[in-house]
Amino acid sequence: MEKALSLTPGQAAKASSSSLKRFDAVYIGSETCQNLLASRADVDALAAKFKGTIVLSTALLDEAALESALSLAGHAARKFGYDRIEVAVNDYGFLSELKREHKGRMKVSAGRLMMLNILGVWRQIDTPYLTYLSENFGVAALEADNPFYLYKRGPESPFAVHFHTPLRLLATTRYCAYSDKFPACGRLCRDRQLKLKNTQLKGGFIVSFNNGYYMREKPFSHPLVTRTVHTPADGKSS
Amino acid sequence: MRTTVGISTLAEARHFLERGADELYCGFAAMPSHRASAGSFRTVAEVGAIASLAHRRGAKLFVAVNEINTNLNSAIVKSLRSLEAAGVDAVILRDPALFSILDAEGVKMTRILSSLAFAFNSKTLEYFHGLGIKRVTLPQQITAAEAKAIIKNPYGIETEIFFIPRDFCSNIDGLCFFTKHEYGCVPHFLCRNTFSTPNGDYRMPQLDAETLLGMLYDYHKAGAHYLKISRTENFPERMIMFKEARLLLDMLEKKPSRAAFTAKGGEIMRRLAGLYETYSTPGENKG
Repeated sequence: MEKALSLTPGQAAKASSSSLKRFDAVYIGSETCQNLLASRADVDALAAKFKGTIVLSTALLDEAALESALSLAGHAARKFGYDRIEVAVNDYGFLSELKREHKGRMKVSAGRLMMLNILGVWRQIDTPYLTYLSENFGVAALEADNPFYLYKRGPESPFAVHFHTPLRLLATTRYCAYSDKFPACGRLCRDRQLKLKNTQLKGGFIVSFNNGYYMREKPFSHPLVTRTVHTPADGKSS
Repeated sequence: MRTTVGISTLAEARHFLERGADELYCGFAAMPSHRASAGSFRTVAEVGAIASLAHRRGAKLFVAVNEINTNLNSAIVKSLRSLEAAGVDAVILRDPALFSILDAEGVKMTRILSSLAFAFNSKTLEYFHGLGIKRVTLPQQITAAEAKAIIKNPYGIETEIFFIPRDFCSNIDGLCFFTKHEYGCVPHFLCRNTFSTPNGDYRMPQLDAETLLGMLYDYHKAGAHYLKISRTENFPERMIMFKEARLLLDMLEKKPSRAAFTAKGGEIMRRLAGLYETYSTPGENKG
């Protein structure tokens, strides 16, 4: 079982080399906010202090963000090699362009927003959908944070699952939670996590972080889970 | 800009067609569609009657298959064949795998890409162009400026937007699970509630009417082709929404300045606000 850590570029910049040693992979970026896409310098700095796999986390992307993401993926693959770089993808256009530009050599996983596609009403892993992603884009792994994807599955699936805890995504937006605007970004979030309480939330509270709203999720084990991905989350304002 | 309206009954279809709707869309119970499942038609004959009515008035009828469910793929193929034979003009799709299944099964119905496929850039549009779409419904949370390359695409794909001033979620539609499942006891529209934080109250961001009217103006100016009124479960609300949309589109046809449109449009919205309150249903879902 691989252990991974998921960080925003700001968090990655602050992380020490020693704190990253115990992880096999580090995710850098965001699956919910295109404005938190890592820069080349962010990835270079991470690679200098962490020797394991680097996963580029990417969100739904507008035209400019798509160009940046493609440029970043190309840079990372050229500089650090396809063996060391993975991309978590949530945008069909990006997935399609990665395949075209890298001719299937880039390791890609279906991101959590893509997985929410199939959680919709039915709460099940949809085999044709995932098979389609595999056959057409070379997707071999799924980023998941909801055990319901796996409750009905045996160990025979061709997909590895990277299971994220302790934050399970409930909703995402393109607004900035701190300025009522989108998609302009002034980095007002500063990696803050807001713990939101409401009397009607009988499950406790939700966390606002990176244009996403999350509930707490417990660690989950399943034969398909080959990697656990931890997001630092104390649910407090900072 | 032409209008597309979601319907759940023959009477609704008649109402909107008599008032100038250019297109209608509906759900069909045997196929998965995004919410409002209670308003989906149960028989091909019902849908066929509406298609005939629409065609007599020079309008079109579409059917939505905009949720993903493996177990229903065979039923979807069978239903689409029947609905096409009954006169339905196009199908609204989300799942790229289903495009391939329809190809393999020889279902040739015109394809519209659902907003739930999240076309936020021209490369996504290009990809789905390869799967045969003729129109794309833009997600709500993309601006006209961001969507410029999609609207001016080289493939001749038409663009459709939601009636943004009244139909705009604070979270991305299709990627929001506050309304069901996870907190089963929480009422719909948790997004509109106030939350407490150690630093004070928090509300999920909402755009004001002026901004939303400005977005509609920008999309009209950018050349978006269709305005869509969602298939809510509340028919009276949809009637008001359609009336309001017509008034705003009529204003836009006269090419006002952006400032004049948002000011006058705001007056129209305020005038109709009372009617919305009269007919609103707490906890209603769109689809």
